[in-house]
Amino acid sequence: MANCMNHCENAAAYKLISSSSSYVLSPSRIYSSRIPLFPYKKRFSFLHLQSRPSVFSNTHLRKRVNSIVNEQKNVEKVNLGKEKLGKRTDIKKILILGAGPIVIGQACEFDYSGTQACKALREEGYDVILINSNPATIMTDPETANRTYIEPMTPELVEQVLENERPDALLPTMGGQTALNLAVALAESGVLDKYGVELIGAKLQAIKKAEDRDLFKQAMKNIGIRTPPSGIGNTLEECFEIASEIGEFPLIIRPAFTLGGTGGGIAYNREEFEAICKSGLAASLTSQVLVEKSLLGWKEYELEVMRDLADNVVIICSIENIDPMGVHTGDSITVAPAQTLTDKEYQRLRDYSIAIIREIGVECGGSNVQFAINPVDGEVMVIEMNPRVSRSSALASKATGFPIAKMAAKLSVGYSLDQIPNDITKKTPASFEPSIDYVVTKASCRYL
Amino acid sequence: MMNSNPETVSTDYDTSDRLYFEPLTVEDVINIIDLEGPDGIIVQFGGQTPLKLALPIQNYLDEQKPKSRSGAGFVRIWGTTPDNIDAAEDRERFNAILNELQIAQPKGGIAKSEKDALAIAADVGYPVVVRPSYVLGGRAMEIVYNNAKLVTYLETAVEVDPERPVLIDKYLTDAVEIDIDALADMHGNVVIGGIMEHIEQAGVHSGDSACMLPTKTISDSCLETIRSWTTKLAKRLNVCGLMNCQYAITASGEVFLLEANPRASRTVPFVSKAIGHPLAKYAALVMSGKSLYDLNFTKEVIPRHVSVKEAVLPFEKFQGCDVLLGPEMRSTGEVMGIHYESSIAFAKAQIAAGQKMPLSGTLFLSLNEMTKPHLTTIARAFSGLGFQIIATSGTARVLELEGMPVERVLKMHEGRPHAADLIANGQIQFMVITSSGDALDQIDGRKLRRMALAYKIPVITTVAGALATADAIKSLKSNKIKMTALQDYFDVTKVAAELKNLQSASSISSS
Repeated sequence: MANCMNHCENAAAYKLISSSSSYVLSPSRIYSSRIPLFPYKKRFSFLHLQSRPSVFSNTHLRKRVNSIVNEQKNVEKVNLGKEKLGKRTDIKKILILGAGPIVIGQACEFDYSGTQACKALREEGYDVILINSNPATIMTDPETANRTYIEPMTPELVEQVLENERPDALLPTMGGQTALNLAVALAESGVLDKYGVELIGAKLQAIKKAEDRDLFKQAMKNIGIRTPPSGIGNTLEECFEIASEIGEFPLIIRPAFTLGGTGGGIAYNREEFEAICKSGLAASLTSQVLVEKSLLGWKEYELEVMRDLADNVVIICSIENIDPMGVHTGDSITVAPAQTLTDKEYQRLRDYSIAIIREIGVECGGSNVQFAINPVDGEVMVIEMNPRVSRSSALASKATGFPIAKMAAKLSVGYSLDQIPNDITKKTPASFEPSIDYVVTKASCRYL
Repeated sequence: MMNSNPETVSTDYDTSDRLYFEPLTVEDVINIIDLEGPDGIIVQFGGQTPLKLALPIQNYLDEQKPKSRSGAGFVRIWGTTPDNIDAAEDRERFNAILNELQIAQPKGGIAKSEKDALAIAADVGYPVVVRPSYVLGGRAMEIVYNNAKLVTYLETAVEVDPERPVLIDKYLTDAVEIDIDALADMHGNVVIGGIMEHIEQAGVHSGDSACMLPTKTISDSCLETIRSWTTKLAKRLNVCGLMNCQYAITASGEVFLLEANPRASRTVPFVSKAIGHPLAKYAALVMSGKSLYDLNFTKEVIPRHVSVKEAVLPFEKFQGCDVLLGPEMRSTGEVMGIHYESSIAFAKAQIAAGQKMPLSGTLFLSLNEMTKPHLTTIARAFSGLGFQIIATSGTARVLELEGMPVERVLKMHEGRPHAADLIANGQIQFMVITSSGDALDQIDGRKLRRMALAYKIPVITTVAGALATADAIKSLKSNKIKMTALQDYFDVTKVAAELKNLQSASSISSS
């Protein structure tokens, strides 16, 4: 049973990690040495926080020195942080983006998260404006938000809402991928700046780092966490080069820019590989295919992580997919907490998740991190990270009694985890990680 | 609250006092009844799943007579009784009630064998709608045009035997379908929640069809018939809570009842938001014993603004499936568009559903024999908006006879360059295709439609949809879409200002 009681990952925990056992992997040291560079000033310098200063070389000595210095700074930070953090009074009106209509892969879980966010923010006295084109939702009940727009969710039309309503902030992490994409479009086109709207919950840079394949891979490389090796080939020769670099079959071949995802597949041998690459290169409008190591058959795990502006991080729940990699998470039977990890393995996933949420730079909100573990040798790779409330958050919330969406909404307006009481216990703060002595299972219903 | 789905607001722990994440089976429900001893059980809000449990639960309550924990007597099912729910679901009982109330329904019958089926079809006349009894979402439902097709259907799609009869009904060609939600209390008061007009013709599953509230083309006398029949039926079935009915109105103005469901339907959230009254909440209160007068909901609300609901279809996810709409439901979700003008409300719903609305370009038209009478109307509507029209031989000939400008293009099996080449070259911006569903169309038309989907060219597959789209494009050309908060549609002063604005705008444009 891998689920021991963990207190939140903060300065105190760092001390433990940096001074203790040998199993702690180098990545955690690297990030622990980076974090407190800008002790509490960070609210005003989000962007710098995440860029890894190049002044640190990875020499052992330097690291030791840094970690000692940082331990001291950490203590300082916690003290100062308490004074500084708390509910923001500089914002009054918040726009929440909903998830739009139910499509395959996105059902009513985002109604759940959006409704919670609306309730939580109104409870705090903020004016909440909501856009969602889907009327079959609780969040579009006229009482849920102060102003409800059941309107199309295109960037141009949402701009009109910004113009009408002039919100101070935009919370994009409650409405799934739809909301996130929309927020990115609004931020990149300069519309948010034009109307002086701040992205809260996840910043543009964090969203892009998590969503963009290359940026994500690079970020993971920075903190020493492996991702499935892959490469992009423009010719058959290049594809074979990538294949030999990766070193083993099976390989996944995905053509870029095709009409309707045709021409990809999994290859188990050279012959298949050649055939699929050829058809993939032909099907791709840009003659590009992505060749990636297939993790078919690896064990799959998800961790729900939350972080606040004081850089406290808690792991809400670990979820194990009973079906191995290759079966979509949404179709898979899942169990919380994870059942087949040793404590050591679980602690490693924890450390990784914490490092990832910090590296990606989700500074006040929840994320979902997906890992694959090789059942033979325990090798860990990170598959993806969603810098938002996800399908698994709904399950994790109900499994643990820790309402992730509600907490994420509160974190996004400046609260730190230790300032929010736990809804179930009423006594402990949200910085206590839930630990469960029961098992929750989710099976999916198939539309066949 | 009892529900097995963790992704819902209903299973949030602060929504109910006691929450059970348990499978929705008779045994589990009975266990919870024993454990909790509730005063009432509500089965109307969960669609078919809890309705199927209603009768066995009622039987259990009748036999065991469990007491309520509150001491207020026995545990009861609140709302419409399971027996009355069954009366609406059971074909024979339901027919008897309709005869008694003199409510018309399409001619049809229940076939327990292939011989029965052919006899019924001969009696009512083709086309007919066939479907297995007791199905959800129109699964395996089909419109059949002749004996041979009917036999194929019975042999391949469903098994017909006395245990599993097949329903055969007259298919009303070119009929308009109406959805109506009504609310009734235990004192026999009935209030109409909303009457929705479907944009696609009857025969397209109501879940896949766009619909509009209030209605636009229905005559007052037909609406009166629908209101009085719905009220009559709700009273006869002793409905307490919500009831949803579907009607079809033929071109000649005859009204037929297609279906009645004494429960909350998928349209309830849409209607509630369109009329500004939370119907599900009212229904729950009504079931607890309140009257509609207590709730101050005593009159049908017909809003000044128009609300359009559009279905969201997952065709892009499923390579190779056809995009034609039919009696089998395929949509996954829905969106809503609201505006004071119906054409803009429709445009909003289309945009929200991800459908592109080209304002100019070339329209590819291909209509089957059945819909050819509407061809010139559609062509005129679009050419009036400045669209060029391209069509294959059959469609083009009709247009040429009418003296309309049309460019010919080859069908896919006729040689090249053909219609698909034009799609690939970006020479077509918009397509209206109605399919005959015959063998050639299965190869040719289907390929073309899939291709359009791959290139993200909007395809409309119904006549009504095409005309509504033409209307919407016309409005989009002259108006900017305005975003309005739901709350403002129910703010009297804001509504008045908005309407004044619109009137002055239209008087300027007309003068």
